[in-house]
Amino acid sequence: MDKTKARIFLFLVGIFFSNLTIFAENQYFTDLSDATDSTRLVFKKRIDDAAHDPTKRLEAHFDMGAYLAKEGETEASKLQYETALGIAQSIENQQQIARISNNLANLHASTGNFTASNKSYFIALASAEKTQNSGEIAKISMNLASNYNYTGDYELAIEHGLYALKTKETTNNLERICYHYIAMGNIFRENGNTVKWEEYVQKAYIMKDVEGCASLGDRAKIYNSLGGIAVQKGELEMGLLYYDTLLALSTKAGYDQGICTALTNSAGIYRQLGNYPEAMKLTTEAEMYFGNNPYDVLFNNNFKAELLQLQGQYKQGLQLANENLQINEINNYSTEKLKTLKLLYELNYRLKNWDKAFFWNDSLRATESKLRDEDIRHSLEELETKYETEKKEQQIDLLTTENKLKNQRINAGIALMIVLIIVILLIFYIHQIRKKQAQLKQNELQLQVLRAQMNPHFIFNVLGSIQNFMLQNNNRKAADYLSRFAQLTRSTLNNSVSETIPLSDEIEMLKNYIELEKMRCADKFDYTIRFDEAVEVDFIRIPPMLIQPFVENSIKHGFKNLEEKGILTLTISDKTDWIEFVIEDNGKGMKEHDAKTSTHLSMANTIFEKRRKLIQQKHKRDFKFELINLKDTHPELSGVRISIQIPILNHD
Amino acid sequence: MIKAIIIDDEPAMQAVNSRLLSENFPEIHLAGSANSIETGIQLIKTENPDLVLLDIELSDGSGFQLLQKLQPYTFKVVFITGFDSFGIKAIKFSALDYILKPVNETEFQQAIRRAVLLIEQNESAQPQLDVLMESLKQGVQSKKLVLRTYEALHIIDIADICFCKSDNSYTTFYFEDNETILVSKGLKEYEFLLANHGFFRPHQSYLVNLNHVKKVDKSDGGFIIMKNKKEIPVSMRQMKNLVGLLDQL
Repeated sequence: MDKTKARIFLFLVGIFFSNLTIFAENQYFTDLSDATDSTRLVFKKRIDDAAHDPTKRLEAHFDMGAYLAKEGETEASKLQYETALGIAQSIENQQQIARISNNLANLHASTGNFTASNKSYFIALASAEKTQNSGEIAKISMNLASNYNYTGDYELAIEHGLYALKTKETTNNLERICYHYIAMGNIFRENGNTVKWEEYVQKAYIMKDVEGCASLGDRAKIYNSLGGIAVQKGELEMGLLYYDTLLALSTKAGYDQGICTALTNSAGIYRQLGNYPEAMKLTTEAEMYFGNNPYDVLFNNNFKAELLQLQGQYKQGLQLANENLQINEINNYSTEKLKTLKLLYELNYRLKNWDKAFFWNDSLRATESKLRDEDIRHSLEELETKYETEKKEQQIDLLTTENKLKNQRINAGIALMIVLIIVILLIFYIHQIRKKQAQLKQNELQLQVLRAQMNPHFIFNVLGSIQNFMLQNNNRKAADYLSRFAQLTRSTLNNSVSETIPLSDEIEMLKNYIELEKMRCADKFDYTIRFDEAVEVDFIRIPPMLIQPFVENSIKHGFKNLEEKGILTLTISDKTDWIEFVIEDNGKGMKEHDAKTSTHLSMANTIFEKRRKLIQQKHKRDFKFELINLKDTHPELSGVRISIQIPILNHD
Repeated sequence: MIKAIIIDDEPAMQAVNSRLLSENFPEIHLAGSANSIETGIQLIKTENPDLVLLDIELSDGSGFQLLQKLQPYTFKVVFITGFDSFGIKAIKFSALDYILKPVNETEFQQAIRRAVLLIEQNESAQPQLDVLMESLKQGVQSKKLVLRTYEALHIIDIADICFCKSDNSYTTFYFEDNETILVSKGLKEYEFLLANHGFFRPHQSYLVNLNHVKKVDKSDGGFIIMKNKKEIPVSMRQMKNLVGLLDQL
């Protein structure tokens, strides 16, 4: 089961994160490549010039550190970074602290000093969290994860890797997301979880061409991972192809780490294919591209020793394994350490050094059980699952929030609708109340109309007249008078409750009324009711009993104490929208004094005005009432002319 | 000699009618008075009168109930009523006579005179009674109408009437078979009776059975063209009502 592990990129992380700067500056320094010393002088001058500007000074130290790192002068580079960090901390520039610490940590990691590296990363992470720069937080966190991955602290590795991914995804920051996926995949790969490894590599592969999602190095790493997966699945040819792609890509970019990785990983495939010479050739070639990273040496020694073991050259193999043991940093690279321990055990076994074999076997098992513990693998998956769940929950939260917003909008809409409905109902209600009030008013007016016509004065006058006829022994006249009064009462009762009545009914009532009055005052006056035959008296509908009070007034006041015979003329004409009633008498005419003392007329007037307003309100129709003392316009005449216009309400 | 009785639950009205009868119609002999359905029936059975002055509102029921119990009978009836009750319409459909309280002497004379005429002509009261009873049924519309002319009582199917035309206080009925009947009552009265029978008054002088209308010509102020091709003018004020009514049909 222990398939030879393909080599992974070491510290691509750190290097890649600063690689844009490095490439740029590299370009710049290439021009000055002959004058390395003068370049350093330029930095020195920059530093001196910026003596009073900490930010500039910091930048100069940082750039110099980056330059030195590139030149392979790790220790000198660290010094520059530490100076820059000191300045940044003194001016509390969190952004710079994070940036410098990250680079410093990368540098430590590249030399296998994970303790120092982790310390720097934590400083960087703390500062990045203060600036809330999600990209920086994710980057540093993922670098930390890679460190833990190397040292075999998988739980911590996955914890930080997931934190990095979560930070990325929550802020929807896709910048170099591929790097994060690959790093995440590597953690699972080291842990032996191929399914998850492939899952993340696929994620990276899908995103690799989206702008900003992958740097050149990231792309190299993707191909490396794809190759690794192919090997894992036994598709060796496929694996070689991927590694060739990686080699071409890296060669083109002059990227040593990539070339080195491509060569060693190809060598691994040849070994699996049994082509040990080719494997040996390639791995030796790879040595030309080594940086000063102890991992490279450790990996190569192990690989070569395994090759030698396979070819039966145990002694040479054991020598290489022992060489590895001499390198202090081996304790920082768990996988390589495991390989070395295994080699030591197996080779000693082959060489029949039983004591040593037994000793190394113990060490091997102890280390192995620590790294390959099933429980750890489970807990890692659990952590990942938890993360996936959280991610989903987050998405659900997001959706819920969206839904809430939508609901809020809907609620707002509903609320608005309700308010509108209430307003409409209110308007309707008020309208109803107004209508009801109008109705009540109308009912009240109907009563008043009734009272106006059947006013007590009139009733007692009629009764008095009947009594008078009886006393005169004129029973027949009394009976006749009574039946007419009954008829008038009947029509008054009928008509006062109707909103409109036919004009013919109104005329009939007026006639009846005038007849009664005429009988009562012993034919002291004559009357005529005139209207054109063409007037459609049965069709025209008018509000009832508006005219009678004015007729009554003419008879009562106009003909009172009149010596000659009174003449009452009622002329009715159809004005299409109105019916005009003109009541004319030849009486004494109206004096100011009369109008005031006649409470009945004023009451009639009040009722007339009230009904006029009501009709105006209800039917939007106005009508006129006009009183003229004939003497005022025609000195030769006497009497009063009252002209009243009553609206025709046929279709209202 | 004509024998009459009065049935009225108000003693004063009995006295008034009795007096008016004796003063105006010496040829009529008042055989007695009653004040309820029960006593009325008894009186009629014992006296077998030619004329009954019958109050509609009696203490133990209505005058109509009394008549129903006595069917068939041969006497003539003149109703007496205080206020426009629902019975008035039925009375009018059957062209029977009625007097309103308090009694107007002139109206009284006219009503009694018409009854006397019918008695002298020995006309049967049964057809009029049938129409009356039919009209009194609640929820059912009478299909018949009695038209009384000087010469005869016409019992006609309302559906057969094409239209009516007014001429002052006279009304001429026009029928499908082109026959006409002239009645001495105003058009307004028949409008009141027939409005619920599909009749419409398109013009001051016309009352039309809408079932006999062929079409409405809206030109020249509007005409109704009857199925028998007779043209009837439509008043501008009634055009809207007519159209509304026709839309409902």
